[in-house]
Amino acid sequence: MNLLFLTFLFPLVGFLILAFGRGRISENTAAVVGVGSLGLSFLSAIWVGSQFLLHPPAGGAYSQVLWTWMSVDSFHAPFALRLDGLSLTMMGVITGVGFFIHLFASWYMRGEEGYERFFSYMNLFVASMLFLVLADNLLFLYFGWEGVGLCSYLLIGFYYKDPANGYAARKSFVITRVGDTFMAIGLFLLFRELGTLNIQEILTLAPQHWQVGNATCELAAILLLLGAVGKSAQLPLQTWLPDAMAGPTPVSALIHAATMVTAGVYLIARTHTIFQLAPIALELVGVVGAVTLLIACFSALVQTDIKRILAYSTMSQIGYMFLALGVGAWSAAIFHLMMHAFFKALLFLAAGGVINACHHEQDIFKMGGLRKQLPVAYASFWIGGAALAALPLISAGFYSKDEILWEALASHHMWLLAAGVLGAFLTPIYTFRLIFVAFHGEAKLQAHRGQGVSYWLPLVVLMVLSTFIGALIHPPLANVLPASPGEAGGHGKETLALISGSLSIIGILIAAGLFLGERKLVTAIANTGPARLLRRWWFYAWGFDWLYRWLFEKPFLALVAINRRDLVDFTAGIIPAVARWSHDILSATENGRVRWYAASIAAGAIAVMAAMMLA
Amino acid sequence: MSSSIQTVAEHWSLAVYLGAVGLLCAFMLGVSYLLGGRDWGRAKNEPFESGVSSVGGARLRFSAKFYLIAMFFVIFDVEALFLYVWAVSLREAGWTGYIEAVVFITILLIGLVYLWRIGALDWAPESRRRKMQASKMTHIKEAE
Amino acid sequence: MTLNEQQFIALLPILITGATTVVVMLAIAFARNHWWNATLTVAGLNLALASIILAARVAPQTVTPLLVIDGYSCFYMALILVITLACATLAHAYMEDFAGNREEIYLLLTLAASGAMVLVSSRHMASLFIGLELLSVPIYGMVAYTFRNHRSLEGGIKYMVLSAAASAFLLFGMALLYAHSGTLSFKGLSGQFHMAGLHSPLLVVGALMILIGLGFKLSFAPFHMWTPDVYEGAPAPVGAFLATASKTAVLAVLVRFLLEASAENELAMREAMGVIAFLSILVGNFLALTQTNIKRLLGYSSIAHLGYVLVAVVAANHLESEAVAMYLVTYIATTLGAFGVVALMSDAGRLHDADAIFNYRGLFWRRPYLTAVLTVMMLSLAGIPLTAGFIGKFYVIAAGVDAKLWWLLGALVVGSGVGLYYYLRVVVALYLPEPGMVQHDARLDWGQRAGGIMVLALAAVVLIVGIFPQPIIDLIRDAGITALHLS
Repeated sequence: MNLLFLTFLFPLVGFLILAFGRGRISENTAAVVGVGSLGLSFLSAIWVGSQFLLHPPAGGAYSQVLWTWMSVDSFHAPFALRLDGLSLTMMGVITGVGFFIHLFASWYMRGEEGYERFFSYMNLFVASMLFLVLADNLLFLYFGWEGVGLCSYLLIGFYYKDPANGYAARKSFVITRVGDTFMAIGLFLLFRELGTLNIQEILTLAPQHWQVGNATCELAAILLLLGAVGKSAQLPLQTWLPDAMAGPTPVSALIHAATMVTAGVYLIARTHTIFQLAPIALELVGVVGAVTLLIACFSALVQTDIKRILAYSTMSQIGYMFLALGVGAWSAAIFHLMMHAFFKALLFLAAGGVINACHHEQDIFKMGGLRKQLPVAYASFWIGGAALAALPLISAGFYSKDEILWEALASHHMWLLAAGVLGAFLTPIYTFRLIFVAFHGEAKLQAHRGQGVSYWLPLVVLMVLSTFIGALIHPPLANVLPASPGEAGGHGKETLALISGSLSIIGILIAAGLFLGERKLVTAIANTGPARLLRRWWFYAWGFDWLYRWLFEKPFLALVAINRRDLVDFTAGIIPAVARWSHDILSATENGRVRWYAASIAAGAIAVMAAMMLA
Repeated sequence: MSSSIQTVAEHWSLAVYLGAVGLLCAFMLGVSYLLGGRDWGRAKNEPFESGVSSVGGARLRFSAKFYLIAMFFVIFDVEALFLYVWAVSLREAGWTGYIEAVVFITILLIGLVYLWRIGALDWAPESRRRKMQASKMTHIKEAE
Repeated sequence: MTLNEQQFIALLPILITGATTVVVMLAIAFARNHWWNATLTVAGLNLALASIILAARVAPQTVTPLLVIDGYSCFYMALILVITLACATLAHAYMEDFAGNREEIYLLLTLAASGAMVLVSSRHMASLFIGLELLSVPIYGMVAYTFRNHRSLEGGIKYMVLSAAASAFLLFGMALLYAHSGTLSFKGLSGQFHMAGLHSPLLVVGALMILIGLGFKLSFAPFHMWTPDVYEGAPAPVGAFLATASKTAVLAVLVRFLLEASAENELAMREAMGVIAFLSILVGNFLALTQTNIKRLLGYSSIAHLGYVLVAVVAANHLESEAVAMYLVTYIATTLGAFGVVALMSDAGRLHDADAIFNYRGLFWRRPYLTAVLTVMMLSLAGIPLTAGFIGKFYVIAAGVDAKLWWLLGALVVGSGVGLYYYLRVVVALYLPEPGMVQHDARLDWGQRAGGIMVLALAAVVLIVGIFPQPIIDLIRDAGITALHLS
C-alpha cells in the first residue's frame, strides 16, 4: 500500500515528459507516454486496492505521510495521502475509467494538431484529480480542486483557434471559480472555528464543537455546498457544463462526465459529518439535486446536439447523486457516481466514435441510420443508454438509481422522491430519442467505421461494466460513510423498484413510438404554438444564461460604467502614489557622489547612536 | 556626589595636560611672533617655499613603475618584519615555528616568482620591450 | 600554543582554500591558460568543500583564541565555498573574451573566500577584523577588474573608500569595547554585557559602532548608498559574489557576535537593529521601484532582503539563527541564479554587461529555458509560494510573530508588496514581443557549459527547496546552528 503515491506520480511524470517534449516527440511516443503513464497508474491503483481489500488496515484507512512540507517551531505541514473506502472507490474510477478513456483518446485524437499537448493536459488532470481524492487535508484537496479546474479550462479551450471555444472555456472557468470562492471562504470558516483543515480532525472535532443545527455549521456547510455545486454543474451554477462540450469528446467523457464533475459529490460525502450537523444545508443539497435533475431532463428532451444531450443527462444524473446525499444516502450516491462514470464514459466515447465517423457532425437529426455502419457504437449506445435509463435488472444504472429512490422513500422525502421518479420517466425518453434518431431511420450521411484495438477495447470494457456486471462491484464504504436510512430494508422497496422499472420501459416505448419511423406525431406536437415556446425555452436550458445576463452581467456592467472614474481605484491609487513619491525622494539621494555617501554613513551613524543614547 | 569628585580626581591630570599643550602652542607662536623679523613682498604671500620663487609646475610625471616598486618594497619589507620576530624567538618557537616560517617564506617566494613571471619586475612595459627587440633585429639585419 | 592534529583537521577548509590561492598563483606564473587555471581553482575549492566533512567530524574545536570551528562555522564555510564555486564557474563563462589578464580573478576569488571563512569562524575581534579585510580587499580588485569600463573602476574605488570609512567605525567600536572591558574575545565581552548592560555608554556605543561597521558591508540603510553603484559597476560574477558570499559571511559573524557576546541582550542594540531593519526594508524596496538596470535592481533588492533577515535577528528568540541560516540559503540560491543569468547574457569582451531590463525584453522567444530560470529567480525573490524565497520569508515572519514585532512585520508586508511590483516588471519584460535589435544574448550552447548547468541547477534548487524544504531545515538543525543559543 505504500505504493499509493505512484498512482498520481505516474501521470505527473507523464505530464512533465509531454510538456517538456512538446514539438519534439512523435505522436506515437506521446500516445505511449500519455496512455502508458495512466496504465501504470491504473496498475498501481489495482495493486494498492487489492492490498487494501485483502489486508484492511486498522481503522479502515491507510494514510501515508509523503513528506513534511515544513516543520518550523510549532508549525507542521505534513503532506499526507489518505486511502479509505471512499477514496479507493474514487481512485479506482479515476484511474480505471481514465485509462480506457486515454486509450480511446489515442485513437480519437490521432492526426489532431497538439496531440502531445492534449495528453499532457489529460495526464495533469488525472494527477490533480487523484491528488484531490487522496488528500487528507482540505487545503490539498483544494489544491487538486483548482488543478482539475485549470485542466478543464485548458481542455475545453483545446481547439483554441475558434473563439467560441475560448469563450466556453472562460465561461466554465469563471462560473466554477464563483463556487470555488465560496468554498475557499468555507475553508477559512472551518479553519477559524476548528483550527485545522485535516479532514479527519474536522470530522472528529465538528460534533464536539457544534450542536446539530448550529448556525455557523450551517453556513460552513452551505459554503461547501456552493463549491460543490459549481464544480458539479448543479443549480444555480450549472450553465457552464453544456458549453464545456466544446472540448474534444474524450475530455467530455473523462472530465465532464466521469470524474471532475462528480468531485462535488465526493466533497460532500467526504465532509458528511458537517452536513449531518447542518440539516438545512443537507435538505438544500437534496432540493438542489432534485430541481437540477428535472431541469436538465427537460432540456435534454429538446436538444439536437449529441454531446449536449449527454451533457444535460450528466447534469441530471449528478442531480440524482445530490438528491441521494440530501436524503442521507451517502453510499447510494457514491455507488451511483461509480455506475454513472462507467455508462456515461461509455456513452461519450461512443458519441466520440460517432462524431469522428460522421466527419465532426454533432446534430443527431443530420445523422440517422448509423445502426448498420457503426455497430460497435450502436451497441455501446444501447447498453449505455439502457444504463442511463435504468432499464430493469440488466443495466447497472437500474441498481444504483433504484437505491437512491428507495432511500428517498425510506427517509420520507416525498417531494424528492416524486422528482426522482419523474426524472426516471423522462430519462429514457430523451436517451432513446437520441438513439432512435441518430441510429435508426434512413442514412443521411456516409460514416466511416472506426477500427483498431484502442477504438473498440475501451468501448467493450465499459459496455461490460455498464451492465449488471458493473453493479456487482460494491464500493467498500461501510467504514467511511454512515449508514443510510433505508439500509435496513423495509416494505415498499420491491414496489418502488417495480414502478421505476416499468416507468423506464414505458419511457423507452414512448420514445420508440415518437421517434422511430416517421415521427409525424412528435413533429405535429412540436409545431404547435405553446410547444414551440416550450421547446425554445427548454432548448436554452430554461433561459438561465439569459437570466444571469440580466441579473448579473448587465447590472455589473452598468455599475462598471457608473464607476468609470473608479472611486475605489482612486483611493487605492494613493498607495502607488505614495510609493512613487517615496521613490523619487529616495532616489535623489543616490547621486553617485562618494563624499555624499560617506557623509550619509556618518550622519546615519550619528543619528542611530544619538537616538540610542537619548532613548 | 562622591562619584563626581572621583571623576574630577580621575580627569584632572588630563585637563592639566590639555592646558599645557595649549600653552606650549601659544608660547611658540607668540615668541616667534615677537622675536622674528618682518619682511613684506608679493612673493611672501605665495604658499610655496615662503619667499623663494617657484620654478616650473609641481605636476611632474613619474613613471608608474616607481609606485609599483615602492609598493613591492613595502609589502616584502613589512612581511620580512615577521621574520625578525621569529628570529628573536627562534628557540622558543621550536620546530612548529620553524615549519610556519618555512611556509611563510615559501609563500613570499611564490609571490616573488609570480611577480617576476608576470613581468611586474621589468622596468619597461612588455610592448616597448618587444619594439626594442624588433628594432634590434632590424639593426642586425641591416648590419648583415 | 601548539596546534594538535584535530585542530589542524578542523582548520583544513581554510588552509586548503588558502593553499589553492598559492597554487593557482604558481600555475599562472608557470603558464597562463584560462581553462587550466580555472579548473585548478575549482578543484581546490572542491577539495576544501570535501574537507569540511572532516572538519565537521572533529568540531567543535577552538583553534587559538581567534578561531572556532563548530557546526555553525562549518555550515557557513560550506555555503561560502559553494558560492565561490558558483562564481568561479560564472566567471569562467564571463571572462572568456576578456582582453586583459583573465586568470587573476580566480586568485582574488579564492582569497576573498578564505577571508570569508576566517570571518565566519572567528570568535575574537581581531580575527573578525582580519577576516573582514581579507574578504573586502580582494573584492575591491574584483569590482574594478574590468577597469576599462569606467563604471567598474568607479565602483571599485567607491567601494574601497567607503569601506575604509566603515572599517574606521568598526575599529573605533572595538577600541571602545576594549577600553571598557580589556578583552576582545566574544565570550569575554559576554560577561561585560551581562554585568554592565545599559549603564555603560562605552559598551553600548562600541557595540553600535561595530554594528555600523558591519552594517555597511551588509548595506543596511542608512549605510546603503554605495550598493547600487558598486553592483552596477561590478562584473556580473563579482556582483554575485558580493551579493552573496560577502553578505553571508558578515551576517554570520554579526549573528555570532550578537549571540556569543550576548550583545543582543542589550535593549539599545535591538532597538537600533529594529530601526535599521525597518529603514532597510522600506528604502531598498522603494528605491528599486522604477529601476531599469537589473544589476542596480538586484542591489536595491539585496538591501531589502538583508532588512528582512535582520527582522529575525531583532526577534532574538530561539528561531533566530535557524531563520537567518534558512533565509540566507534561499537568498543565496536565488541571487546567484539571477546574477548568473546576467553573467551568462554578458561577456567581459563587451564594454557593458547586459544589465538593462530592455536587454531582456522578449528573451523568452530566444532562450526559453534561461528565461524560465530568471522567472523562477524573480518569483523567488518576490517570495511566491513553492519557491525557496517563500520559505525564507516564512521563517522570518514566524520569528517576527513569535517576538511580536508588529511594526517590523508591517514594513515587511509593505516591502514585499512593493517588491512584487518591480520583480514582476522584469518577468513581464521577458515575455514581451522581441524588439528588433538584439544587443546581448547568451551563447547558443549556454545550457551545456558549466555556468549554464550551474544556473539550471540553482533553479532546480530554488524550486525543490520551495516544494520540499524539510531536508534543508533538518540540515541546518543538524549542523548545530541552534546550539549557539545554548552556549
